[in-house]
Amino acid sequence: MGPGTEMSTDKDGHRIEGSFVVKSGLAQMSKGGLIMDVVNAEQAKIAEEAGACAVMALERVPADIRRDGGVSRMSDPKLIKEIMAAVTIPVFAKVRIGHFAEAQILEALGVDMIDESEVLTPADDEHHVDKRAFKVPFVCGARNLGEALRRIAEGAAMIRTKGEAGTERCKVKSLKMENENPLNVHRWRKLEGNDPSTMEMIQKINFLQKLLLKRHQSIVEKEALIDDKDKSMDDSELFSYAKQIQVPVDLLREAAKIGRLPVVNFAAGGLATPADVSLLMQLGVDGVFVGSGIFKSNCPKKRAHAMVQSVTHYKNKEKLAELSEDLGEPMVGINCDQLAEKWEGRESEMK
Amino acid sequence: MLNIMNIGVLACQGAFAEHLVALKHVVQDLELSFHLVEVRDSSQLDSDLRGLIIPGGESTTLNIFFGQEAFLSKLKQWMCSTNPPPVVWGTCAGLIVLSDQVEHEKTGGQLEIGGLAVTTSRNFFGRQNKSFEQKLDLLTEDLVECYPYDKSPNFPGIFIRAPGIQAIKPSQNVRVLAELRGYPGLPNPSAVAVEQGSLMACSFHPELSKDLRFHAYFVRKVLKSSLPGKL
Repeated sequence: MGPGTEMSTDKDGHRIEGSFVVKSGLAQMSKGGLIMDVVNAEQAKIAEEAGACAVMALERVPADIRRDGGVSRMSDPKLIKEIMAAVTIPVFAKVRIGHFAEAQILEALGVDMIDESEVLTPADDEHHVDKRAFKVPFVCGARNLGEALRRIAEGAAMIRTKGEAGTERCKVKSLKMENENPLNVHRWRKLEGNDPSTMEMIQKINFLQKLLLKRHQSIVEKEALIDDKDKSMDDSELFSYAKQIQVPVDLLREAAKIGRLPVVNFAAGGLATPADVSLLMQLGVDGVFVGSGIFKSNCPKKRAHAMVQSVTHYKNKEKLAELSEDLGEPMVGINCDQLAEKWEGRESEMK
Repeated sequence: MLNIMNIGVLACQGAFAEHLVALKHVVQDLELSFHLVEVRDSSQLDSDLRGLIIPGGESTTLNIFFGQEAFLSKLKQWMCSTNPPPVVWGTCAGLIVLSDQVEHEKTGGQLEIGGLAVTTSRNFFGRQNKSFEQKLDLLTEDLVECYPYDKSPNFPGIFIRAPGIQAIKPSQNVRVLAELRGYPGLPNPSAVAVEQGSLMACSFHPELSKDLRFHAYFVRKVLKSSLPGKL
């Protein structure tokens, strides 16, 4: 640890608001916590009572937005103000991708953090909001390293994973169907020739088996080579990787150096149980967002409490078992129609 | 012969990781042999634990954690019955739970440990849009000098939806460690870090800055309290 104190006060030591340290500070204070979607003041109070470290104020939870279709926009300020007045914990709210005017309005209302969210209908198909221009911190969704670093380059102080809201049952259903009747079209080959005799068949099988063995062997050798090779990229490799995933190279370098994103990263999308929370926390996220998972279940207070505790005790299997007991039905009554549109693909064209 | 001594950070929620990183650097740089632990269970509050940091996060979330399995009463018991008393340092939300008087609790009230003869107002410094950084004045040579790498009389204060110390009860031996100048609505200067007996608290976040002197001060305090008469 070196000397000195890096701080962005001006020369006279006066206070500085809205610096990146201050913006990311709120995200850091939320770590190890659960942020809950709420659609009214009553739900917000339940969230605070259950130990949520912040609430996300919106008019409809993402699962309902998907169900209703149409255009979804920033919530009515009246609702947001009611929620802000109802609780003493931070209040987040969403704006449409690229809608800097909605962001300015939310900043004027005094919300603690803005979620530039793919869950609402994108307002700009080319550009995200220039988040550096704002004093209020932003959280953005990302599916992969490239997206995450691009949002951070634009000024995001926090990242969350993009999940598909309210849809795990759908996914499981469709995966199950695929498993039972796999098509494997890519494996079909048109063959010409006569019906082979038994002898020919046996010879062919032997030949193919030998070939298979040889291929297995070469794979094993190649994997050993890969393991030996130094897995980290050197500087020139970083340059071309940055170009490949379309991100600024200095951000990529920083991420490579610290072994993680340079901002707080939460999981979001479809979390509904203590086990879900533990899974994501063990995979290395700093905290979780929960949307329809709580208030659409049939015992919201209990589930909310259990999921908050699961973030703290995510490594304690016995505790998680206790917390998972007798929670009632998860996410009752969510539509499971075909996913007409996947939101995770929503990002500006100008990547 | 020194036994293993632990220093813990309450890992229920919040920025406990940053505290652990800072403590690790200090313990290494000062060549001490403390073992650092993340505290999530009351069984960890034993006589080997000589110091505890209650980090910033949401005090309401901490509140729920305290209510689980009588954690709060076990914590209070550990603080009062261990001899010599362990050192407890609260930052931000930690300051709130250590304060004897708290203003602007959530509806229904919040559990607290108390012990610090101060009145603290939750979220005094406003929402996120009023959060800020400002250089603080360090009031004691012990803090200024406690770490080899930094000797400046100022400390970088980072205030995130921070609580404000509104009043200090006189005659209770509360020592002010750091002050903030020129904040409207507060006395000029006003206390932002205090110490009373084996307790310490601050309303800002030293763990978010690169200055390790508060952590060094805390670790030295833990060392002193664990080896009475030997330093």
